[in-house]
Amino acid sequence: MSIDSSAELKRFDQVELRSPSTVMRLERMGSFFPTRLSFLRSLLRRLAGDGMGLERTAFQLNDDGFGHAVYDVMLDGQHYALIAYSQALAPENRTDRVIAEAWDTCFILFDGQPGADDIARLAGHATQQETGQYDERVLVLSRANKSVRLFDHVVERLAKGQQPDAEMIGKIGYLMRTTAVYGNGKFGMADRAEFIHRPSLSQPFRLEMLTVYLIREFTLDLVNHVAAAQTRQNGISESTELADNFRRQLGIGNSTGLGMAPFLVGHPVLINNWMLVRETALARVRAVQTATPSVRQEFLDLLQQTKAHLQQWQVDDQFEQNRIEKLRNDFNEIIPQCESLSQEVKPWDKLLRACEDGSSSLQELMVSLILEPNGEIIDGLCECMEDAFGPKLDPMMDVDSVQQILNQHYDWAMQIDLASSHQSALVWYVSEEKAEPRLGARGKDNKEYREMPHAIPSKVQAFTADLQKFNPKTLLGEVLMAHPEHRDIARRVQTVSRHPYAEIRDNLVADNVRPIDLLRCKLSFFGASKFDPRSDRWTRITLYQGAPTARDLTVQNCGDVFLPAFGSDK
Amino acid sequence: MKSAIHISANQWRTSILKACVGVEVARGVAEDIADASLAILALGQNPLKLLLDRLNAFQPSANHADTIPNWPVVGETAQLGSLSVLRFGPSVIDMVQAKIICSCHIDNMTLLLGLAQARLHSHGIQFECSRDGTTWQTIEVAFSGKNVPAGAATCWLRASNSQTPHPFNMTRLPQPTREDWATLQGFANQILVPADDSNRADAGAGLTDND
Repeated sequence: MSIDSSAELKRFDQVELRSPSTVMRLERMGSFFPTRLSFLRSLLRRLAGDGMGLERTAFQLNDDGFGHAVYDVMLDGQHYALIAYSQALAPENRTDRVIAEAWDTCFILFDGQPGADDIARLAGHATQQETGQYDERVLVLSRANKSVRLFDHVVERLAKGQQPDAEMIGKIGYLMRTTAVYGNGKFGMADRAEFIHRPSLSQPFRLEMLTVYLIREFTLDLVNHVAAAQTRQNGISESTELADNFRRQLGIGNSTGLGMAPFLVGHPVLINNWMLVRETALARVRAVQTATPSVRQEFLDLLQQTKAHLQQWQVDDQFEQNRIEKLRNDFNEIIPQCESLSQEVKPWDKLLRACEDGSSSLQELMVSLILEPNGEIIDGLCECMEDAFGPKLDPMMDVDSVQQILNQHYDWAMQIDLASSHQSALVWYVSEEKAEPRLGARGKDNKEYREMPHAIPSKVQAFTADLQKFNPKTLLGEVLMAHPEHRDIARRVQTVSRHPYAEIRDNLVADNVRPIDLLRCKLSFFGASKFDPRSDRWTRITLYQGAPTARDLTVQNCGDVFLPAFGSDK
Repeated sequence: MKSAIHISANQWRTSILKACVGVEVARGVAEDIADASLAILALGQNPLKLLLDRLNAFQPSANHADTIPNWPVVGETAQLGSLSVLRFGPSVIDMVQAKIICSCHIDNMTLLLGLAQARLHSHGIQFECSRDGTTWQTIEVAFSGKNVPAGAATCWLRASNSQTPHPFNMTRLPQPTREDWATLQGFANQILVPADDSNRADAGAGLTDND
């Protein structure tokens, strides 16, 4: 469903939306937390609602855990299968970088039920990842590496009939981490357009999220299998399986670098729709007059869970750790106010206002918190996050109207002093190594020649300068006839006039840009938590940590995923 | 896999976009050419050889100042002369969208009509084409009747009616030959920066990062 044509947006009262000039700033976007609108959350609700029928139809692994397994799941009467290939990997070849060429495990999400010939044929391609060849029956391609420390530890303990160390489980949080999850027609796979009409798959990244959820199931089975085999080999009488509470505490790690950043710039309408849904949800919740006792109690429980989550969130990156510690303190200070304000009229609005003097992190954490117990009035918005068309150019708009849009939406870009070396210090480009996006110093190695179109302020200023040479009533089409080099920014500017959350309102080539902010924003929409930056350009995260596993998933518990806290009741 | 090579719609679009940018076609024009190519593919035709021909011939540094067509008053007919589709193609369609009947000698008529057909999908505007300015047909009919010259041709275009925009039907697209696809990738690879130790560090990650 397109957000423009959706009646869903007008179903409930709402306060005024927060301004794009507030929301679409990198520092704020880099403070986002997952919400119940995040893609993995809406998937879990769907799977639980449909009664997920997960069946392990093949598990042909040797004692070391190498071989293949197949997991079949039914959605809307349609079969989907995760084919998992597990192989030996020398430690020196194990890297999370996209330039890696071998992985512990490789995965395919298959459209339908694969036959033995499909499984055998795809093995040679899946293990080659990007250089393999795929067709429209392959929906998603992924790979994952073991967290060697935790995987070996869990195997060792289970093989002795013991459960793993709880602190290690909580701290690492995953047995494997994916290093890429490809979909939407990459490498010849099925285009999104081929399956978007299926009701279960109409939301962004639905199949990618399903794939990761099934990978999690595989990792849990794998560790039990390897431990049991070790027990047999060692002649020990009793191994044990991973306890349910630990199964739930283990999500899937993900290692994400700059490759994710260009997506946010390159899909302005889609990003607008994600943001607009999030802001609309917030505006609805802020308009609520009173919290019912059960909703208030849920909120108070979430406060304690969040407090525990923040306490357990430790990272090596000093910049991020400082932010976490400040957030921890700010949050602890505001908890007493939360308890009292949640009893007042318009409680959620007051709670957010109470955070206005705090950091962006505190404000955005509160956004996620107050959305959480209000699913009844916001979950329907998840159907409005898709974009079927993308940006559109109107060549019949006159120069004066274009200039007005620039004045209204791009004043931030016009004010940037491009003559300053600080404002044009960096260049986004694509390396020939697996087409990996990179960000380097301008004026070095002649990279400018191949610069990606992320220097929005310089494009806007050049466009504006040429617009001013034309009569205000001149049609944009005539301007672009003379200046085709402005066609992309003209389309973008017009798009932002219709989709105000489409543009990040910061200079992405300035020397103070932190690409990690882009990554965190996108990952929060996926539903990621425990952001663990390894530099300002890549991060580890966990997905599904704390979420019910397939055998436990119910309509009642599918929402118990918010900011997992080890040792909490959740 | 079922066929020797299977190229998805997304691959078609992104590869053509990159190839155009690789030879320094303006990015916004490249985006339109990529969509035009999808529109042609959706009509069951494969535009790749024709596109490769134009990419080979494209001269980014050429001075086009003298060739920029004048924009006539809306409602008039424009005779635009000889034009490069990779430079002026989208602007010709803009002009037609502004209710100006245009004629031009375009260096690739297939791609020009593809640009018009793509506008049907994105804007819901139906275009008609003619070889002589008297006999008109929709783009779809022109392609289905094999009435579209492979290369340069004189072409007339006009906007007819509007309808609701709708996405392309991207199922069962024509597939390229391996040779043509490799040639396209060669152009697309021109946007890539050669790897070395210096720019490898620009990824911002360590080379090994096991936990």
